[in-house]
Amino acid sequence: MANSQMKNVLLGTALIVAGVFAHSGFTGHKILTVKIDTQAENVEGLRRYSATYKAAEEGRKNFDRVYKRLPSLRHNLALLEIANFSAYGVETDTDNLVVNAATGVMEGDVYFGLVRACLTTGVGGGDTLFLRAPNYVALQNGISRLAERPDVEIGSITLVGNGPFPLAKLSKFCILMRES
Amino acid sequence: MKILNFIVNIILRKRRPSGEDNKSSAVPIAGSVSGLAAISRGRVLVGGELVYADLNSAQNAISAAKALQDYVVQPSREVYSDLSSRVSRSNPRVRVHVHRLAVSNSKLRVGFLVDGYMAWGRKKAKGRVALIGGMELVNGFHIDVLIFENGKLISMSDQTLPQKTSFTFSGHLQTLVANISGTYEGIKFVVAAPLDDFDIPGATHIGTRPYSYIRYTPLRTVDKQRHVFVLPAAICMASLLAYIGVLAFDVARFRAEGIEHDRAAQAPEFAQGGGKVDAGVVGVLNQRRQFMETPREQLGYVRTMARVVRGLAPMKDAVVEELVVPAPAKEGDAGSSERAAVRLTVSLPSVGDSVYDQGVGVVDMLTQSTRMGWRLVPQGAKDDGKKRKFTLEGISHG
Repeated sequence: MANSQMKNVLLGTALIVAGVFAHSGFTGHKILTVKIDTQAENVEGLRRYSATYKAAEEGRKNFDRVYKRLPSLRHNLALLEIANFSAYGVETDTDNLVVNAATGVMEGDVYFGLVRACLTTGVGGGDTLFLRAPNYVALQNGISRLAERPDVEIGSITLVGNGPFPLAKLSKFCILMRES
Repeated sequence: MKILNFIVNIILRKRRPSGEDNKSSAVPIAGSVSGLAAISRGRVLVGGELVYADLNSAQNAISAAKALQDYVVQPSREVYSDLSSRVSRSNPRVRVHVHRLAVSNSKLRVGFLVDGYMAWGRKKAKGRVALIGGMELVNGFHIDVLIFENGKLISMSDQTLPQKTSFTFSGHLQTLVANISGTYEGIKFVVAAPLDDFDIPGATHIGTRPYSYIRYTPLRTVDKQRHVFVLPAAICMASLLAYIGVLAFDVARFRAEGIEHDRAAQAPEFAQGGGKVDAGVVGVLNQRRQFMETPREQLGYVRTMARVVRGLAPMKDAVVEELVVPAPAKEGDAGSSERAAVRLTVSLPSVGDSVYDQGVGVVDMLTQSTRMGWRLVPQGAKDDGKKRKFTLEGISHG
């Protein structure tokens, strides 16, 4: 009977339609799943970045606190203010003070916004800065406390005591400053 | 098996036609269009011209009644009601057609005579039984012949016989009986109401007993077209719904992730990168952190210097000519990787005869006061008459 044939045709058509839906649904689902996964990875990346950033942000605050900003005017007085020797009970020959050009601090070829300006006493020559104090203990104390400052670099130290005042010759005395 | 059948019957809500009405004789019987037209409401038992029933397997389902314009298909009746037959595809069915008049009047509750015959045969027929039912109409007898074998319907046909008054009646009846007896050996004959006093030798009259199995219900048109479309439409709808559901769910998830992404990207740290991850910024920040966390060597040798200065304090008359505390050579620089030594030149008033002895004394004292290792350098002791000058090297042990 035509009826049962039609029934079969209809059923077959329905199955084909269902198959098309299933196929395109599955394809769409796969594509969307990939997109969702990519998006989720992006979000995860952002979160990780945020976390890293927040952790680094603490470091940045610390960085800003520890290092003074590089004075815009390259003036010896500005650097002396930052060095603030008098607070450490030592003094230097400000008349002959030479400030070398600030150079960027590189760490594995990466510049990270920190510059180094080294102070030398012009008369003494070389890369040495002279510091004076009334006595050895005061001199040693001042140098020790300066050395504890994270923004101060001190190279080799030579103390000379046969003059009227004990004198310290510091090679490579530099102050670290942030550029911004 | 019986229990299983019972359960299946309950599940399929196939209520057995109960003897709900033993006063079924009160139900009017209609066998022709005019007879049915006279009944406007209530129960009616239909048969005769109004009903065509034939036994056909599902495959061989061409119905003669289909060709009859005024007849409407009714749900097929199952011949066997046990489970295995129901599941089987080849279960023969009795196809039933009823005159549309019985369907069109919704106030009628219609019962089929043939249902009663079938039910009686299924339950009561033992061995081979031929049930002769039907009714007398204006133009003659309309006879239903149902052949049962051990309760199973194996054949079904309708026949017409002339009126009893006709001279051909007995001949026709004898032919019918002879045909059945010839085909089915040892068959017993049963005559059921509304036929009565049929002259079949040896026949049992069971009267209206089959009526008790008949159920009366309002009939509905079985819309064949709808039946044909229902399953395919359901399949299409289900697949469409599944399709929409899956994709909608995915899209919702995708959008949720997008919102998450936007929310995460709104954090201030992405402002400079325009919402993008700027690896450089984090790199710089990490470099800073690393730089700041690097242990500072200068603290080490400055401490050494302080130690030496403090160690010299007990030697009131000592003058430090020079104290050199070198910064250790940076890794990779030329020179030895040895710990850099502290070089101390100190002048003291002469004590005792031996310059060397005094020097040893100084070394011992310094070693004790500074807890460092000290030694005189070669030619490290000089005497200019007034003062003695010693040059020493000290190694800090940490």
